[in-house]
Amino acid sequence: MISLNEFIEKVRAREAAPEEVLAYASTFEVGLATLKREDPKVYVEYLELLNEALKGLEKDLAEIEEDLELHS
Amino acid sequence: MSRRYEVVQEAPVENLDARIEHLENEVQQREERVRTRIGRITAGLATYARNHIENLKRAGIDIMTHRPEELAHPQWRKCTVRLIRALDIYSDFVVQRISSLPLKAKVLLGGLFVINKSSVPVTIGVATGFADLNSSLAEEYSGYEAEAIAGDRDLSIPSANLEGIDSPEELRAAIENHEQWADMYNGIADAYEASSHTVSFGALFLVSLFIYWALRKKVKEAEQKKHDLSQ
Repeated sequence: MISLNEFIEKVRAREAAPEEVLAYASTFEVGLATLKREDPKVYVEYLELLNEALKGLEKDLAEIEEDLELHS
Repeated sequence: MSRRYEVVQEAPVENLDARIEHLENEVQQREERVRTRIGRITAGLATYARNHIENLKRAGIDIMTHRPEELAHPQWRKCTVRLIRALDIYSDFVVQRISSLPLKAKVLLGGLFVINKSSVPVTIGVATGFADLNSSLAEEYSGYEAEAIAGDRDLSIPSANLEGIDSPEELRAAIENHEQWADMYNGIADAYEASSHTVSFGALFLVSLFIYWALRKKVKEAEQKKHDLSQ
């Protein structure tokens, strides 16, 4: 478990892995709300990473759904 | 595992608010779609489980006398394992979003978390899965059976809540639903075991039996009460 500051540094460097971004989105909810006010540029980077991570999760789930033939 | 992303062109300061609003909306919509997909997948797995077990019964196969790997449907097994892996990777995120799913989906996912006890936060998963169902049952049995079942698995089943079920008909419907859940648990446990992961199949089975037994007792009591009143 990393600290909020460490997480923000990872976001700033765009080095946070998708699963980290998803996990810490909930853990650091309050801290990230503060980040939105205090450093909106980094907050935008965080949102972009979160968006990408969610895309990945959606893709994984879509493939599982296809396997289940739910579309037919 | 760390990934680098493409450098996105920095938005002008005056556009930051608009950019944030746009991204927040996009994230919200994606989260909603993730929730929907998880709900659909669990429903799909449940259908697979029910159909497969029905097919086995129709074929005259006694599921209690066969090894799980002889019974698991290959396609369904593959999907279950993949779902568990996806949930495993994203577990912290997904668990917190499961609370908005329908009860049936939560129960099924609770089962999946129990099965995948090696890495997914079991307590959270089980609490999410079973909380709505079990609160007054545990009250009735002082939580003894629940704790006995939980054993060393940190599988604390909270007290059950059967609020909203106040007639024998509703209880009967609940039991019928539960029987389907029990089938799902058994099937999923079989499938997962067949994929050579560790399974707490016994725990799932006992939990299912416990819920079934307690609901059945409630039905009998309600029927007796109705009978007494009609005398």
